[in-house]
Parts: sequence; structure tokens; C-alpha cells
Amino acid sequence: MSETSPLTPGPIGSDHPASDRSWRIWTSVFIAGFVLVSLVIGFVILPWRSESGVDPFTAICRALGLPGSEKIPPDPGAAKASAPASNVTWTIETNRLLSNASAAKGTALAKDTCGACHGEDGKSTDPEQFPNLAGQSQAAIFKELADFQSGDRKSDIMAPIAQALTREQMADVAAYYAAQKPDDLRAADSAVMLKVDLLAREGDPKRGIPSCDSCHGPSRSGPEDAPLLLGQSAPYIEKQIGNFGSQTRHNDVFERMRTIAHQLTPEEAHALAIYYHGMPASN
Amino acid sequence: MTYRADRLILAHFGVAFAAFALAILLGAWQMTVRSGLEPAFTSPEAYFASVTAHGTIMGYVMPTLFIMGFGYFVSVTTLDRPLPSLRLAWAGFWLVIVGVAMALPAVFSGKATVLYTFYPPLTGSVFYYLGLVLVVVGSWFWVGLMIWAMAGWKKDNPGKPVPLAMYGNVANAFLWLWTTVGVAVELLFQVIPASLGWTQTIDIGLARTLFAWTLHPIVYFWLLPAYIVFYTIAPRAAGGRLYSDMMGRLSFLLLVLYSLPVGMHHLFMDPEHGTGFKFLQMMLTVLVTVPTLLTIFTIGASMEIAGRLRGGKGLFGWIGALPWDRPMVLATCLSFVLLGFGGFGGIINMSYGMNAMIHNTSWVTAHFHLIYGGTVVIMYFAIAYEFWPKLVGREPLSLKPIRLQLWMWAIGMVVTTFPWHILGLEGQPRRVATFDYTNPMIAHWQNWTIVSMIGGYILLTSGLLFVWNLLTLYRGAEADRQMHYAVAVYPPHRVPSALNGFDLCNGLVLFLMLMAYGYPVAQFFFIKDYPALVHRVDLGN
Repeated sequence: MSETSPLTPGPIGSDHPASDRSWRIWTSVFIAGFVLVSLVIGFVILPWRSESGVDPFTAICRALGLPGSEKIPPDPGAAKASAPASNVTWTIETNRLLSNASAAKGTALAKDTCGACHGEDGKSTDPEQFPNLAGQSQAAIFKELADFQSGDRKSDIMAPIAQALTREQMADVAAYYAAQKPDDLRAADSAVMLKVDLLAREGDPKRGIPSCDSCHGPSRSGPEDAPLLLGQSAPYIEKQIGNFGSQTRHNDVFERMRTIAHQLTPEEAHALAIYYHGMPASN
Repeated sequence: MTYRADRLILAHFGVAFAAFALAILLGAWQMTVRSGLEPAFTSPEAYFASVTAHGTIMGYVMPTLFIMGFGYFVSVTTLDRPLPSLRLAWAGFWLVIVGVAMALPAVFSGKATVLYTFYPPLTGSVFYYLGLVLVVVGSWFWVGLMIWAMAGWKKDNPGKPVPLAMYGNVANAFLWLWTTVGVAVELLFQVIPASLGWTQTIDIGLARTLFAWTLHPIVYFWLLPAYIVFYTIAPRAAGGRLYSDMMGRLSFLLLVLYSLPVGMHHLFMDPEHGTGFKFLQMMLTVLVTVPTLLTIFTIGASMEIAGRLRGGKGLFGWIGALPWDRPMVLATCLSFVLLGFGGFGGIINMSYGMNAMIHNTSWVTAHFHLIYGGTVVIMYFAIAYEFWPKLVGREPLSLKPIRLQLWMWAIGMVVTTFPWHILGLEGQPRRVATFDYTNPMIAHWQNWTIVSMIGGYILLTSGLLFVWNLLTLYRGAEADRQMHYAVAVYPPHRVPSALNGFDLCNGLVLFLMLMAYGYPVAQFFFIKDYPALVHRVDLGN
């Protein structure tokens, strides 16, 4: 085309304005018509025919993504949730509080108060009773402290301690312990049966049990407040699973852990506790 | 052809293909990780950083630079006049280079592992996003120059039809301008403020809608140079003539119209839009098949003309008579075959109902690799083999390694992507680094994954052979530097203004975009929704 070839002039096109105009008109008519037909099918005919039990107006509104005149039935979970499992919500304010927290400010508190049981370096003096906190997620520590304060989680020891703290202090001390170095461990997969290892890593879809690791594993891809489990003592973990299963502990949002723990057999709970107790990573 | 811009074009092609070589290396490595054969290589962090780099280069860097270089070449050779401003062209090039130099280190240091599709609320280093913004802004310089070049030519040649290749080239410039609006708004108003820490939340529904706006037409932006070459070079390479110049113009116009208002077919499973708009965009997606079928018909007819001119007889005899030893003819055929498979998969993807079977599975990855690698990139190879000798004035030493390279690429594409289709139908999710093949439920996936890994290494070999072929060109004999385009059976003397400019086209695109995206975007400003908290992958939270 850089070189025009002097062949027979083709019959295509013309510089005639009338031809240009008819091109413009017919192209536009075709496209607008196609859009119109699609809109009628997509917004009127299909919703009307396929949404049974609603009036046509509502059906069309739904196709737009609007509720229409339809009354949205109340969420059945809403009434039950009138007493929330926890008062902690992961709002921007909470996240900002945590990200502005200072581990340095938390140091004194950790040494004066928490260290007696949980260890100044976050390694518990009695891990069967008091969890290790070194390297625990800041959000999880903060959430448990807030729940002890509000009474959503019951403990005669922790309640008065937490009640004496401000939210900033909780965030600071949580940041302090999150920054401590935990023992170098890995899951004790060789100490348990394969099916327990699978339960931890993949869950059991038949019983609707998700994998423990999906929330409590190293990626912590679940809710913010899920704690890391690796490195807690086996009796402590087993006791907490039992408490969730018997509803004695109930500060799990959406009853996640109560639902799961309820379905675990005592043997599974025991084996999972051993699994997450862990073993030295160098083994 | 008096005017040239060889250094400018070679700079674009050179960087594009260097980045491409890096990206195919990463691709082969990713398949090795997924195969589970070398557990030592298996780190999800490294895998996803690599996927981000692979996608960023293949999606934004390589095609953008290649298409810019291609556009400059077409502009100078078809209009036979200099670029309106060589200085602006170089400025655009350097903006892209600075952008790449900002974005890629952020990716390779693991600070921007968000994949090339961003996935907010994941948010990475601001350098990644700013780098990509510069790439886009640099490409807008190209858009401006292409429109300017065509306008200048039309002013000096009133009433004459714009050369078909240039018409397609400017169609692509307008397409790219429309395409980039979505991602530019998403980056500038949503993602970059979050990555700077200015905002703590991000409206995911809006972000995904804006990205879908870009993510589908971007594929047609990559594809259009291939289509331009089908119409304006392949018939000449086969020794024939273009069956219809008008069909080419119509196809380019329709591709611009119908590739834009369709991105919501990526969001069929998303909750943020009503079913009506998904249906509308599905219907518009169907129309994209029209210019594709027009093209297959026209190029098939052009090839038949060539085959018959070369003495081919009978119903199919002309096929055998085609000059299959010429890389352009071979590449066009391979590209069509792979377009057939990729397009078939695409029809499943864009069907509102059927999409549910394969949504977010390896099937989707297979589809876009077949279209991108099998249809688009194989034509980029053919274009490079066509243009490079003109740019450096050297003939290839031999056509054999060139044909071998094209065959290997096509075979590699089939071996890589067919197993993904099968795995996708079996439910294998995409965007997953590793699978536990000891699990009996999915153990048999490993065999197919290994097959596709072998395909990945065939592609890698072919890609490296491509670079080698370009390098050996410099040792070849002196070549004719004159570029010749295919002549139509009936060269146009006058064409309707609708097919010689873009006023009507842009008006119709505006109408279609308003219908398809007007309400779906506007609703985010009056419906109560819940923005997500930003997750900063570069800060580890």
C-alpha cells in the first residue's frame, strides 16, 4: 500500500456524503439494536422467567443488582448473635491501633506483669497452664486480652490483669511478645498418624472441617485473630479444644472453633495437640 | 521509502525481546515448581514473585514495547513520511524503560508479589505501580504520535484511503487508549494511595470492575498487530493478493468496538454486579467472534488466491501449493490453528453458564496462553523475522532454524496448554504454587503437570532459538531494506469515511462503554458496600 497499484478502480466505497451517512446510520442502528435486544433479554425476559415467586419489578431490580420492593428476610444468624462472641472487631481503628503500637513501650509491662507466668522472653514458666507468647501474632494476643477484659473469655487470673490495661497498653504488650523469637520448631508429623497430619493440613471436607493450618498455620490466611499453634504445649492445646467443644470457651467469632471442636473425637484432639506441640526443626 | 526510524524501532524490539527471554525462563521454572518433581525448588513466595514478574513482562512490558515499535515501523513505511516527532517517540520509549526499571526490582525483591492482575486489597511496593503507570504513559506518547501521523497524512492526501496497515495501527492506538482508562483509574485512585499508606481501605468491587475494563481489551491490543499482518503482509508473503481491503478495515473497526465493553465476563462469579449487566456483556463478547470469522474467511481466500496463482488445482490443491518454506506463511497457518483451539476455549469462558465449570481453574490459564502465545506471540516472531532484515539490512543465513523455531513454539504451546485444559476440567485451581501429589485424590494430576512442564521447556528452547536467529541475522548477506505490503485484489480508491477514520468508531465505543459500564461503575458511589482493609505485602501484613 505504500505503492498504489494502478489496477482497475474497485467498486467499493465512495466519497459521496450520502454513502458516508448511510454507513454511519446503519452501523449505529445495528449496534444500538443489538444492545437493546440484549437489554430486554437480560433485564426483562430472563429475570421474569427464571426468578420464581417474586414480582416482575423485583426480578428486574435484581438483574440490576438492587433489592427492589422485596423485603430482605432477616439474617437468621442475627438474632443469635445478639450477644457477640467477642467485642473485638477488625476495623480500621483496631488495625491502626495495632500498627501504631510500640514493642518498646510494651517491654516494661511484659517484664513487670506478664513475665512471671508467660516469661519475659515469651517462653512460659509453665506451658501446660500458660501459653507461650514468643512470636505469637500481635492481633491474636490483643484479641485475647480484650476478651479477658470484657469477660468474653473467662479466667480468674487474666480478668483482673486485663481490666487494668488500656487498649493502647494491650496493643503495645502484644507487639512486644510478637517480636520475641520463638523456638525453632516444626509440626510433629512423625509423631501422629497420617490422617491427623491430613486433618491439620487439608481438613476433612466430609465433616465440614477446614484444615487447621488454613487459619493457624504459618500463612495465617484465616481471620486476623487466629493464633499460631505451633509450639504451644500439648496439654494446653488439648484443653482449649475441649473447652471449645464443651462451649466453656466461647470467644470464637462466628462459633468457628466451637463448631469444629465439637466434631473432633477426643483422640483427634489429643493427636492434634501433639502435632502442634511440635518438634525441633533440625530433627 | 525515504524515511526511516530504524534505531528507534530496534530499541523497542530489542528491549521487548530481552524481557521476553527472561519471562519465558521464569515460565519454565514455574512449571517445574508446579510439577512437584524438585521439592527443593518449591517456595510459594518465590513462585508467586516469579508469576508476578512473568505476567508483568508478558502482559505489560513485552507487548507494549513491541507494538510501539511495530506501530512506528508501519507508520513510517506505509505513509512514507517521517514520524511527527522522533523526539517524543524517544521520550515515550525512555518513560517505558524508567517504568520497567522501577517495577521489576520491586517484583524481584518480593515487595510486589501481587500478580500482574494486582488483586487488591493485596498491595505491594508503590514503585511497582508507579513503574507500570510510567509504562502506560510512555505508550500514550505512541498513541498520540500514531494519531498525529495519520491526521497529518490525511490532511495532505484528502479523500485518499489511509493505507490498511496504518488504519489498523491507529485502530490499535485508539483501542489502547480506551483500554488503559480502567487500569489507570484503578491504579491512580485506588491502589497507589493504598500503597503509599494514604488509605487503609479499598473498594474491591470497584477495583475489580475497573481492572476487568482493561483486562479483556488488552488482549485485543496484543492481537491487533497479528491481524494487521494477516491482512497486509501474509498474502504478499504467500505470493498472492489480499482478497478484500474493505474486510480488513471492517474487522479492525469491529475489533475496537467489540473488544471493549466485554470485560465483565471475567466477573461472572463476582457478587458486585447484577445478572443483567453480565448478560449484556456476554452478548457483546459473542460479537467479537464476528471480526475473527471475517478475518479467517478473508485470509483463507487470500491464501487460496496465492495457492492458485502458484498452480494449485482442485478443492484443496492450492493449500499444498503455498510456499510453506516462508516463515510468514507457516506462522500465519500455525497461528490460525492455535487461534481455533484458544477461541473454542474462550467461547466456553465467555458463556455465562458454562464459565461456572471452569472458573478459576487451569482451563483459563490454558485459554489465555493459547491465545497469547499461540496466536499473538508466534506472529510477533514472524513480524520480527520480516522486519528485522529490513531494519539491519541483512538476510537470514538460512530459513531452516526459523521454521524449526516456529514449529517448536506451536508444538510447545499445545503440549503446555492442552494438559491445563484437562486439569481445569478436573478442577485444578489456577494461581496455586504447589500441590500435594501424595494425596490420592489429585495424585494423577502430576502426570499432566509434568507433560505441561515438558511443553514449557520446549517453549523455552524455541524462545532462545528465536533470539539466536535474530542474532545470527547480523552475519547474513546484504538485504533489500524496502518494505512491501500486500496489495488488494481491488485496491481501494475511495472508502467510506467510517472506514477511513475513527470519529464514528469512538462515538460508538463511548455509547457501548456507557451502556456496559455506566451503571456498574456508578453503583459503587450510591450503594452501601463494605470496603476491604488493605493488605500490604511489602510490609508483611
